[in-house]
Amino acid sequence: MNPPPLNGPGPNDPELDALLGAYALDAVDPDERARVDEYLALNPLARGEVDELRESAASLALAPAADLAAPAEVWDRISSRLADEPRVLATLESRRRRLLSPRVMRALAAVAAVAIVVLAAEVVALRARDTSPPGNLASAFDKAASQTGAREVALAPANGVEVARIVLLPDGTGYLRNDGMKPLPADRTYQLWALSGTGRQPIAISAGVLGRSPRTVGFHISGVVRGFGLTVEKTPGVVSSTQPMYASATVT
Amino acid sequence: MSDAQLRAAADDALARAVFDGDELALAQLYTRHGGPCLALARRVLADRVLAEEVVQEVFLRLWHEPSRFDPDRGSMRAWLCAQVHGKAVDLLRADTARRAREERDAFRSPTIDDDLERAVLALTESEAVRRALASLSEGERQAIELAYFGGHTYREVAALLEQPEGTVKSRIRSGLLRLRAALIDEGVR
Repeated sequence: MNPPPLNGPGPNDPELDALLGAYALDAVDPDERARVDEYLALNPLARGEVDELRESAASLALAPAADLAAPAEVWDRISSRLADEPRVLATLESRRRRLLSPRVMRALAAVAAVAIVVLAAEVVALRARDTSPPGNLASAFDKAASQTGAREVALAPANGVEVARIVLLPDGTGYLRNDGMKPLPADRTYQLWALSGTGRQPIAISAGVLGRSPRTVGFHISGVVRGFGLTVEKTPGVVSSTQPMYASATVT
Repeated sequence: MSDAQLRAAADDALARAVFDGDELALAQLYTRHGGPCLALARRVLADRVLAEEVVQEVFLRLWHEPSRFDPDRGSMRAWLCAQVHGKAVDLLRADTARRAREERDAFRSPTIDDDLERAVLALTESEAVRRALASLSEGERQAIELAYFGGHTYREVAALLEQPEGTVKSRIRSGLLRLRAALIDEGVR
């Protein structure tokens, strides 16, 4: 499959197009599912078709009215487990990697050139804001910064004035500290992106929706990351940004 | 949000409230969609206990990872159903669950048996969906029924129907596309 143009519709593969219906119904084998996942990450038209097909499927999912009441006892069990684990307020399914938009690509081009990156990163960000006291995360940032092998990068907009700092540990644990990000309107949120991929085919993966006025947040990444970027998005955040980079930094 | 606001809120607004940590918004989404989700899971798994576990996991996932729902990519109902269906099928394809289902449903016919109409008959949208379903060919309906409610892969559907795999693949896709177009014509989004 040839790389798609950054601003084009993506590659077209009739064989995979033919699988989209079965894929939307979870009626493909695991290897086919993986191939279609990769295809969808590159092809917005195919992605749109799958979304439409799933709307069709959801219509069929409705059952006779007698069974349509949501049982209270199931809600009781759901409700009792809401606090069982920290909330992850931004994530991407591992295969839903997205190409950078041309606007983000242009912003990225302003970041210093980086050596070729071998693999795309798969990033899952764990935002502990809701369950960890901010002071704990601030302490965790300081502790991480003092560890051997820790890398620190300063995120700055075009004027060069640092607005946030990231410390990244060798195991992929990272923390972002707000050093000057201004509070946003209630319907906007900062979003952190891990930048990977090659120079010709960069990939931005959400590393966290930070909220309108973040302090310190934690996240974890796997794979090679060559930079980080911040965008301002409409709440609750996006899986693929079309916004210009608010601030960025290169990881060396 | 107040109770009245919650009841009146669109799903996207409730999703934003869930993102902000509003448990009542999650409860409202459960009230709206929990029943159909459970019915779908039961239909696939033929096991109420397992189906309830699937629904629980899906709503807990929405709570713990609310950004997974992307309103730009479709409705909350479609997202929840896709999550429920995916988990149910994964369970079904695990050997133990499949054996349990086969014991309960040993001689289930691969024929269509009007299941799709029965599934939607009593719904508010049932008439529109029924008319939309009528636009499908018998082959398309069979293939979709076996894949979606039977939890079969298209290859298994092809074997059950003794049809070429390519034909089944094509029928599933064309049937869903035709259904979508017909539902939009009926005003069902």
